[in-house]
Amino acid sequence: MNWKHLFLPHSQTHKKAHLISAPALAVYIAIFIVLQMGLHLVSTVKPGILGIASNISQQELIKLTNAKREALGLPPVIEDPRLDAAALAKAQNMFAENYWAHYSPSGKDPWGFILGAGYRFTNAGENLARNFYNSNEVVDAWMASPTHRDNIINSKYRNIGMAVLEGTLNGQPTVLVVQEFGTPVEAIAQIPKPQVNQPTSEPILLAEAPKESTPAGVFSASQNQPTPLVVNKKIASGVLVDPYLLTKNIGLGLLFLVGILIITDFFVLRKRAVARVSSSHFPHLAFLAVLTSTLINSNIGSIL
Amino acid sequence: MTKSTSKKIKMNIFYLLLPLSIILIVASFIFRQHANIQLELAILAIFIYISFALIHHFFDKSLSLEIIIDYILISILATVILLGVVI
Repeated sequence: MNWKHLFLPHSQTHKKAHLISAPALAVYIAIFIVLQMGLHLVSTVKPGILGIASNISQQELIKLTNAKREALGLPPVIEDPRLDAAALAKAQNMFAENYWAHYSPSGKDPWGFILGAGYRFTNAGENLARNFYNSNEVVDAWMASPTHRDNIINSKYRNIGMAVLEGTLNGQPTVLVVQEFGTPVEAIAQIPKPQVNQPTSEPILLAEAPKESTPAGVFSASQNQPTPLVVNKKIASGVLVDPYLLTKNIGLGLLFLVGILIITDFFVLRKRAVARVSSSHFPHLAFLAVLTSTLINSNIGSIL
Repeated sequence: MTKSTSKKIKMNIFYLLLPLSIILIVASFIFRQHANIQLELAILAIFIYISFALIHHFFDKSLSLEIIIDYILISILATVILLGVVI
């Protein structure tokens, strides 16, 4: 076999390189489908192997939130341990009841966690995020969404609480971020009774309770006592494979390979002054460029 | 249809494809926080890609099963990759 024909058009027939022929494309499709099925199988059989290595810090999130507020001339929100506890309770509940919503399946609302932590409020808000890789991405995602941005830059809020918790949601290791905002009742001097107002924007929710014990150093949602928040921790059990990054990198690699071979095909045929009746190069390259851009700009993290 | 008309249509298709591609690339960056919109943009790109290809090869009188299969296979590869990453 002439290895040159893997990458270059055939020297006599001028057919496409083998690596961009129709059978090769079919093989790439099959490889990708098998990869997805394999990852799904591994996540079902051995959930501890797949995971996301997040680098999210509670303090960094608060700092970034206040930076956004200060950029708009707003005063910073002050961290309140009661709101921290409320955020942690919320995250733990999301894992325990396995839901990604503001309201739990058992009917718990976000404000119950805040009140349960002893923080009586006149205004409160909540933002949620999951599966981001770092603190910057989380805050950028919130700021890109009008309702979540409203929470971050709401001038009424005085306090903030954060929780970053690692657990398993729908069989997948997940990193949850809960951000609570509040204005304490005592800040409003003249109100005779505490008035509980509705939150000014929708909170976001995500959770699933870990069903098994987690390695030392990783805080799980199943612990009943107040636990420190998980910061800058990786899942320590077994081999950590990030399925999202693996899929994305293989996809980008395939697109890059096909793109380079199509460009090579174009220039080789041009040099040989050969006109071949086949699919055109430019639509392929334009389409691959759009696809590559979509992949590069994609993000596994989500907010609700 | 005259030769000059079909030639005009072929050229116009390519002239349209370039700015459309640029618009889609920019849009994928602008809407990078919105997975649903990114997926819709990708589906739109697949639709434009196949439509333009069929129209171009029809007027070029080079439309054949082999060429259609080429475009369809690349579209399927794109779909499979996107479903694994964007969703």
